[in-house]
Amino acid sequence: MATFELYRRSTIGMCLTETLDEMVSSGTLSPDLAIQVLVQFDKSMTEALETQVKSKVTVKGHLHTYRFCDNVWTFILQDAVFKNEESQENVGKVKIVACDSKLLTQ
Amino acid sequence: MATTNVSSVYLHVIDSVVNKLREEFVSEGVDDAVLAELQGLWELKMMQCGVVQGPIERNSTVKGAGVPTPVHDLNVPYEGTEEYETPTAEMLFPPTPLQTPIQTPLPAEPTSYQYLPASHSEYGLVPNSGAATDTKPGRPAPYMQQPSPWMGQRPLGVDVNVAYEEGREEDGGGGIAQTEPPVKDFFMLNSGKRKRDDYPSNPLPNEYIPQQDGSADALLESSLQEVPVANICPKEAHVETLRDRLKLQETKNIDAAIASMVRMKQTAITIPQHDGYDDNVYDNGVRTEDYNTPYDPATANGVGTPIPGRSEAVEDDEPPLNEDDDDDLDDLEQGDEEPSTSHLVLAQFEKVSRTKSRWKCILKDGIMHLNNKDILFSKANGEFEF
Repeated sequence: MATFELYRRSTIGMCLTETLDEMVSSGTLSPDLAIQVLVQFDKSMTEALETQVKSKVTVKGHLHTYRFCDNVWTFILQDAVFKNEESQENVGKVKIVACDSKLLTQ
Repeated sequence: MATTNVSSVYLHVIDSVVNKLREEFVSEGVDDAVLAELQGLWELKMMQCGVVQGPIERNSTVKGAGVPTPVHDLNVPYEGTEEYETPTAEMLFPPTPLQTPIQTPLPAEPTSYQYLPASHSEYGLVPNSGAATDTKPGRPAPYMQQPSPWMGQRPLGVDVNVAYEEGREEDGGGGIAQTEPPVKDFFMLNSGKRKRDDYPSNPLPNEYIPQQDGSADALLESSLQEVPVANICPKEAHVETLRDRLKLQETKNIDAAIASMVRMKQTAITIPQHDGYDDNVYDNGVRTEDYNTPYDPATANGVGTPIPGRSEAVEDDEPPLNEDDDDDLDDLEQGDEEPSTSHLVLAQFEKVSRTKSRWKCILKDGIMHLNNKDILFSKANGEFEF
């Protein structure tokens, strides 16, 4: 099953990466195993987002930069507004990184 | 509500990862305590980030992780030895396996982001090491100072003009070092014969310099003649041969004096090269040093005026400089994106379309980090105006 490493940049992914770095550098974990953990995280995170999350969001804003490279869209929005059922977040500048969802189904 | 949902999803992910890795850990012969430590650290960091709340759920997961550990404690002594063996071998080569095995088909961005710090440091080191190696070839320059006597060679052109008469008469084109002593000999002989001690000393104070460059030599010689003639005539009335000898002697004396002056200058290397570049380096007298140690003057003098000869050295420096330039560009980009990296959306896109300056995109399965809050979505519609 193909996975995205995309989510490793999220908070939970960064926390895991830091943990693995510490454990590998202290010798309690082998680098190979650490890689396996990260790959498993990619799978579990993708799966959890598919199965556990239902909320919908609308995004509006001024598109400052757009880029499509290696099947990854990158948008930089200015004065963006994120709305979901519960709350609204206003952000002066936000970066959106999106991988092609079709790559997962292949 | 949203945050609790997020934390529950995160805990679900943690549990899923830990549970699915248990088999791997066992098959690798790694104690389950390592897995528990991994989970504990991970959750601790999540708590510190404020992303995961409910300690109750965390306790339950810890309990779940804690159950198998006592079972595996029975094997601790055996597994312990393996643990000690594996980490030491692996610690020797931690970075390479970390970076290479990532083969999942994700585009470059996330990976580059993750390993940016490492790669940056690597790139940072490369120029340094390169610079260090650059300095080494540059350092031989000090050795070059030893052959400083060679310095006399460059002024050769000047000396030849001065001393070529002796060279013709005696050596027929010998080196300077050989021509110099004859000059002194002549001086001694002439002074002994003529008892004209004044002459050698006079011309120099008068700053008379023979211009035997082929043009207007006659004029100079005539002027030269006049001076001695005026002095000589009263005492020794005869012959032009004497005059000629005197002329010869005088010119030789003068030449010798000038040669000695030039020599003095060269040995002292007091010829100032105030062209604004590497003035100090020239004082060391070794030009090649400049090329080998291109950045020395930059750091020492801070003189930025470029010199054509310098361009070579600059070219040698260019590879690291180019990377620095790239870094600068990256920094600029990061400067643009820095605020946005604190607000980040990671998702998958289903469709991105544009009508004139109006962009629409449909995203799914996203993690948003906005205003220090994590928000998850299964679907997102974006409308942007460019």
